[in-house]
Amino acid sequence: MRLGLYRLLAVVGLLTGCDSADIAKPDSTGSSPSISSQSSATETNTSLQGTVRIDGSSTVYPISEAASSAFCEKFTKVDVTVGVKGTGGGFSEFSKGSIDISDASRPIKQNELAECVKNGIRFFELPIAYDGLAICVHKDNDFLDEISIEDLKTIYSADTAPKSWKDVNASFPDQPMKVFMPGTDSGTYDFFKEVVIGKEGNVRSDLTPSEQDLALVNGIASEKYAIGFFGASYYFESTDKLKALKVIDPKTKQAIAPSAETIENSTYSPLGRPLFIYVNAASVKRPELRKFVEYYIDHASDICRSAKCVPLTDALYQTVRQRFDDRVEGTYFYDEAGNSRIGSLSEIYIESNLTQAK
Amino acid sequence: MKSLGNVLDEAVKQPNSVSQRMATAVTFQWLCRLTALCSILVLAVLLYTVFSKGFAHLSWSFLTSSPHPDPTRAGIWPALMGTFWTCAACGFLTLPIGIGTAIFLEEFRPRNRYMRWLHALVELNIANLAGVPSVVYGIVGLAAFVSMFGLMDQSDNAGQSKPPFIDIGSRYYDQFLTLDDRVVLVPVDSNRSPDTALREGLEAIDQDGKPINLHLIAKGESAPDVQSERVVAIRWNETPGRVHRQSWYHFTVPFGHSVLAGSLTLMLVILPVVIISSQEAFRAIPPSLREAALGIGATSWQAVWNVTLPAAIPGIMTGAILAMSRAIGEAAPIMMISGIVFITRAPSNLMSVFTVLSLQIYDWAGRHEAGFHAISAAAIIVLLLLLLVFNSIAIVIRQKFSQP
Amino acid sequence: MATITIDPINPSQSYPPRSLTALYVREWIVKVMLASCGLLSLLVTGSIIFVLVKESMVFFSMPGISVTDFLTSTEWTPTLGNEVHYGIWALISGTILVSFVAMLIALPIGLITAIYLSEYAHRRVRAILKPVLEVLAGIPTVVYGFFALTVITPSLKFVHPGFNIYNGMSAGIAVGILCLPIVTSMAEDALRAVPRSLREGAFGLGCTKLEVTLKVVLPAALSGIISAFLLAISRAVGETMIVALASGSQPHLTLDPREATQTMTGWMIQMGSGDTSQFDARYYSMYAVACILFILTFALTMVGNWVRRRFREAYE
Repeated sequence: MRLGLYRLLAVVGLLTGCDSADIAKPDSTGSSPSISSQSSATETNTSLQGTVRIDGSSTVYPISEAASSAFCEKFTKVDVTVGVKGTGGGFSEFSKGSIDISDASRPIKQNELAECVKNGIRFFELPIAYDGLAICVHKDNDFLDEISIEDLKTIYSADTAPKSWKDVNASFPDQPMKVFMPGTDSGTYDFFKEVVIGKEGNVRSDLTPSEQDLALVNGIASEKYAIGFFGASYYFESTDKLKALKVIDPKTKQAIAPSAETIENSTYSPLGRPLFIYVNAASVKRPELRKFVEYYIDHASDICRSAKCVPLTDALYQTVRQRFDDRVEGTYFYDEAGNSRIGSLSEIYIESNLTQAK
Repeated sequence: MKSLGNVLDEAVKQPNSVSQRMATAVTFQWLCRLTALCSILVLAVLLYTVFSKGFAHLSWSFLTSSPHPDPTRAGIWPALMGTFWTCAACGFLTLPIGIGTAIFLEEFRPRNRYMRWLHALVELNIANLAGVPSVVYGIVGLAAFVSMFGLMDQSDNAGQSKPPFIDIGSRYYDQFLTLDDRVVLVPVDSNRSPDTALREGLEAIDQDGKPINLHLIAKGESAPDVQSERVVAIRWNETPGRVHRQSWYHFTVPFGHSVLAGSLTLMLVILPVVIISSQEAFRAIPPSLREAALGIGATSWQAVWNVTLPAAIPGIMTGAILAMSRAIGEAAPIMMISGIVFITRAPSNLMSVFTVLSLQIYDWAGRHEAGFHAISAAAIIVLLLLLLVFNSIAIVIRQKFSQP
Repeated sequence: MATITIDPINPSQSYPPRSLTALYVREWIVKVMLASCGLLSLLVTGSIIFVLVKESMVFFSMPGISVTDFLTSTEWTPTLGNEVHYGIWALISGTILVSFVAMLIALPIGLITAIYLSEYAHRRVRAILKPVLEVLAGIPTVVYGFFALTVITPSLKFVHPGFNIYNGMSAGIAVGILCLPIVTSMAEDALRAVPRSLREGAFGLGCTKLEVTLKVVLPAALSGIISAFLLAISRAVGETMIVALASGSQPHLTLDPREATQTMTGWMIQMGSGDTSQFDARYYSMYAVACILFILTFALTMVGNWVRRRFREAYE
C-alpha cells in the first residue's frame, strides 16, 4: 500500500526529475568530462567547503569513519560528521531530512520507506561493502564444526529455546548452552532474524543481547559452551579467541567457513550480506556531498580493507558509481508488491529490480 | 537516643575486663587504618592503570589532532575543544542564575507568609534537584533544548530539514563548482532564499576571494580550453550547495544537537550544586557584617552588593569551580544530547555539533581494538589533568581568602 | 517628597543623587530578578515532570502496553520472545543488584573511614587521606567505568572464572568506589558536629576510645550518617556511565552478581543515545523508566532530608 504510494511519487519524481537526473553529471560534450577527484587525487583541496552529515549503523560506522577521515584530509574545509545511532536510528533521522547519508547494514524497511515518502525524501541506494555473519563458538569447542540453518533456528527460536546442547542434537554433550547475540536494534540482528528465524518467528528472550560487539566476542571467548553471532569483521580480528563455524548452505548443502573470499563470491550463503549507504537525493545538488559520495565509492575497496570489511567486486563498484552518476533513485530490495527480495547482491542489484522504474 | 546515663550504666555493667576492652579498642583502630588504606590503594591502582596504559600515547599531536580510525593517529582536539566550549558556556549560564538564587534564598528573608512558603518550596525543590540523576536531565534536555518539545522537528517536505526559526550571525553562499572543480561562491540573503539560478555573467567570488563573473556553458556547447576561461566557466547543469560562514556568535532556534543544547543541559545538572554551595558561602558570613550595613541605612540589595557578596565570593568561586569540574567529567547527559559522533573539527560557535572528552573516552573504551583502550587511557590522563588544574585553582582561592 | 542622598557604604564614591523612590524601584526590580532565578528552579522541576509524564503517556497509549504490565511484570522483552513485555522489575532488579553491591562497599568502608578521620587520624594522616578522598570524589564516572572494565572485571574473573565479561558485580564495585567519598565526607561532617563535651564526658567515665566512638559519638551523629547513606544510595541508583560500560545490557530478573544485567539508567542511555528509531515503543519506554527513576531518587532525597531534620540532635 505504502509502497504503491511511493511508486506513484517515484513516477512523478521521474517525470519532474528529468532534469534532476541530469544534475551535475559530467557533461559528455565537455572536453575533459571526467576531471573529478582522480585528477587531483594527491593534492589537497582547501576551497571546497560545507558539511556532510552521516548517521546510522555501527557496522558501517568504521567504513564511513575511514572514508570521512580520508576525505577530510584531502578536502580540508569540508566537515564530515559520522554518528552511530544504529541502522534504525539512522533511518529515523534520514527520513526527517536531518542527515545526508544513512549508513545501513540492511536494506531500508517498509515503515522507514513510508516515512521517507511521507516527508518527500528521495534517495539513492548504494551498496558499498559486504559483511558476513560469523557464527562463533569457544575455540575449545570440540563437538561443533559446522552448523545448519535449521540447527541455528532451533537454538535461537523462541518456540524451542533449548537449555542444553543435547536438546539441539542428541550427539551433543549435555551441557547448558550460553547463547549470545547483538542488540535488537542492530542491522546484524535484523539480518539474522530474517534469514534464520523468518518473519513470523520470534527470537528467544532468555539470552544476552549486547550493543557492544566487543562484549559478544569476549563473552563467547570466556564460555566453553557458548554460541553467538556477529559481524564477520569482528571474527577476523579475533580468530585467536574464537572458532567460527562453517555454515551449511541450504541450497548447495556445502559447509562454508566465513572468509573474505567466500563472502565476496557469495558462497558463504545465506549469512553474507551487503552494507549500504543511502544518500538523500535532495542533498546531492551540493557539490561537497557529491564529491564525498564519489570519493567514497571510488576509494571504497581501499577504505573497506582499512576498516576490515569485505569490499564488493570492482565491477560492482563501477555499477554503483554509474548508478550514482545517473542519479538512479529508489530501492532494489522490494518488488512491486512490497515483498523484500532475498538473494546475493549481484542477483538483486540489477536494473530490472529497481522498484521505482516500474 | 541513648543518654549519657545509659551509656554509663552499660559501661559499669560491662563484664569485660579492662584489658579486653582496650584490646578491642586497639583492634578497631587497626581496622580503621586498614580501611582508610583501602581508598588510598584504590586511587593508586586506578592511577597506575590509567598511566601505565595511556602515558606512552600522550604527545602534542595526540592533543592537537582529530579522531582517526587508526588509533595510533587519533587525537582528541575536537573533543577537548568541545569540552572547553560546553563548560565555558555552561559556566556563564549557571553562575549568575545560581548566585542569584542563593542570594534570593539567603539574603532576602521574606516577611509575609506566601513568600516564606515560596522560599521553603524553592529550597526543598533545589535539594531534590540535586538528587536527580544526570541521565534524567539528559532526556529532559533532549526534549526541551534539542527538539524544543518537537515543535520544530519536521522536514520541509522537499527532502531537507527545515531551516532554523531564528538565525543570527551567519552569512550564506551558494557554492558552485566550475570546470576543473574550482569553487565559486555566490552570496545569498538568507538560508531561506531560493537556490541561485545560473545565468551568463553571474557575479560570484572565486576561491581566492576575488569577484568574478561566471561564464555559462550551455547544453551542447564545448568547454573552453584556455585556463583563464576555464576557471570562470560553469556548466549549465551545475547545482548549488548552500554553505555558510558562521561568526562566533552564530545563533539559531531550535538549538539542535549543538554546544548550546549541551551546555544548557549541563547547567541543569550543576545548577543545584552551585546554588547549594553559594548558599553555604553566604551563610558563612557573620551576620554582623550584614547588620552593620543595614544599620547605617543600606537597602537589602546595597548590603548584598557591597558587603555580603564580595565577602562570599571566595566561597562561591570554590563551589562553582568544583561544580564545573563535575560538568567537565559528566558524560551521560551529553551522551543524550549529541550521542557518539565522529567529528574532525573543533566547534567554532555555540551552534556547532560537538563531542566532549568524557564521551570520547566512553567511545574508545567500548571499542574492540586494544589500541583504542590505550588512547582512551591517554584521554583519561588529559581529563584528569584538566580536573587537577581546576581543583588547584579552587584550592588556591580557598587558601588565599580563608585566612583573614 | 524630599530627596536625600544615600551613600551609606562608600562615601568617597560619587553616586549620583538618587530619589528614595528610584531606590525602591531598583530594589524591587532586583528582588523580582532574584525571585525569578529562584522560580527558575521550580520551572526546571516542572519541565522535568512535564516531559516525563507527557512522553510516558505516549508510551502507555501504544498498542500492547499497559501500566499494570509495566509495573508488575518481571520480564523486559521488548523485541524478543513470543510476547512483548515491558516489566520494570527486570530493570529494577539490575539497579538493586548494582546498588546493593555498591553499598556493601561504600557504606562500611565509608563509615569506618569517616570514624577514623574524625576520631583517630593524626593531622598528618588527615592531610593525606582527605585529598585522596577528594580526588576520588572528583574523578569522572566514565573513568570509573573504564576502571571497572579494565581492572575490576579481569580481577573478578581471575578470582572466579564464572563471572561474565559484563557483570553486575564489577559495575557495583566501581559505583561503590564512587559513592565512598560521599559517605565519608558527609558522615565525617556529622561526627565532627558532635560536641567535644560529650566525648570528654564519656572519657571521664572511663570509656575506651572505641566505646566513646560507638556508643556516644555514633548515636549522636546518627541522623547525619543515615542521610549520608541515603544520598549515597540515591547516587548509586542514578549512576549511568559505569553501568553502561561495565554491567552489560541484558534486562532480566536476576540478583546473581556474576551475570550481565541492565539497570534503569543503562536502558535509558542505550535508548537515548539513539540506537532505536524514534517511532518505536522502546524509545518511549525510556521516559516511563525515567519516571520511575525520578520518583525513586526523589523519595530517597525526601526521606534523607526528613531524617536529617527530624532526628537532628541540636547542641547549643
